[in-house]
Amino acid sequence: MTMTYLRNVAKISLKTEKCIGCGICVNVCPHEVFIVNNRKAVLKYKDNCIECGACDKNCPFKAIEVKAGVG
Amino acid sequence: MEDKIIKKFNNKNEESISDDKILHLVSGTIDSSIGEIKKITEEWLMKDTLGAISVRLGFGRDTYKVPTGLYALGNPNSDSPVLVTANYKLTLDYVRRDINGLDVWILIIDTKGVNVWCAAGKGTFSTEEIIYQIKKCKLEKLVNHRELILPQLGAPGVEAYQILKYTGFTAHYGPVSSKDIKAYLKNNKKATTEMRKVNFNTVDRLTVAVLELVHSIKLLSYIFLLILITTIFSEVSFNGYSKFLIALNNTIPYLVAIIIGSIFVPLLLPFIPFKMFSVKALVLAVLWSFVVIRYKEVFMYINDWRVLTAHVLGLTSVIVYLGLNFTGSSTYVSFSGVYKETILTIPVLVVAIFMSLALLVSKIFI
Repeated sequence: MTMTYLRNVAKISLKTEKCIGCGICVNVCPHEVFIVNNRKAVLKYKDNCIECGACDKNCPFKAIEVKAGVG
Repeated sequence: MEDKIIKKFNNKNEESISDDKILHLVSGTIDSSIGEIKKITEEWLMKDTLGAISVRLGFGRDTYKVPTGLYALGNPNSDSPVLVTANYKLTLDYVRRDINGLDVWILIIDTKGVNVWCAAGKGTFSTEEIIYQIKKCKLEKLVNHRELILPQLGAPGVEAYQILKYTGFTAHYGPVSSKDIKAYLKNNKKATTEMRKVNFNTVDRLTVAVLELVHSIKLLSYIFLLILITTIFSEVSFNGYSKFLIALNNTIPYLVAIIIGSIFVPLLLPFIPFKMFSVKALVLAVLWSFVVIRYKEVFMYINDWRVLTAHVLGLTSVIVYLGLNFTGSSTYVSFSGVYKETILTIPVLVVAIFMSLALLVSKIFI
């Protein structure tokens, strides 16, 4: 059973113009927030984001910004 | 990044970690191009099981760590995969057990004895620590390939591309759970969607809930003392022994409240409506309050509206507080969400506890 938390609170943003669609964000995200569509990452399930910051840290092009809390 | 790595190399005060938690697992050594490397067994011995139970209950949790560096599992050679993990003993135990039968190198980094995910969040499972250990252990001389496998949950602390830049090793993110490492390796180092997902199933929730119970049970002595004091001063017609007995019985619903808050809220989490943990807890708190009021004689509560209201507020506060507290053990909440929930809940809790105390104290005077 997938549990979801509060909506519209997660502070995550994606600068699509910087994204090259490498997909590392998809690989590191523990809650399937991203998909890659037409060589660009898309925030498909933004409300699933737990602000762990894994995508932000691993994006080589600094296209993602997360206000990460303490894990 | 350079300065952080240099700082690691220049740190003269690097903590020396005792090997007493791992010594019984060393089954020999492997001769390699960089010297002898300790071989550790994949078996769980009695000491490991007892250790696991102990830290799950919160005892010896802060010192359950193993020395950093390279270890061999099975009979690895210069072509074998290198897996990176934390130096929390329980983490190593799961990794050892779940990859039995494989020949791999394990690179243990210093996370101060904390598991991978929490260490990544706190910044000890970090890019610089991985680079430091790779260089210190001379990994480039041990293996022919230039690949590392990191646990996916290390990602919040690691910039994989920086590891490549400074060491020449490409860091691949493996699965979330060590259970999937074998399947991941078989799948050409591709983690499937299922392997990448963090779950929070009943067993997961119960495991962390037990630790919460051990931590929160301490509350009970304070609650008992508070009830005892108010009973001594308000029920003047009873003798000392009766007062003690009343206070003891009055405290029982709070013991149940602590169990509800720390075990049943986590256990029933997906089944209770509402999103906020404190509101989920409130649902159970209201139910428990009804039961307590219905059977107030059983717990020797005096039939007085002030006393009963005070205890309903008290019981509710305990359960809601513990429910809110469980956000910290859960795997699907965001910091911003928890912040929002806390800001909404804490003022209500403060008012409720204050009112509860005021009602009990007022009973002394009027």
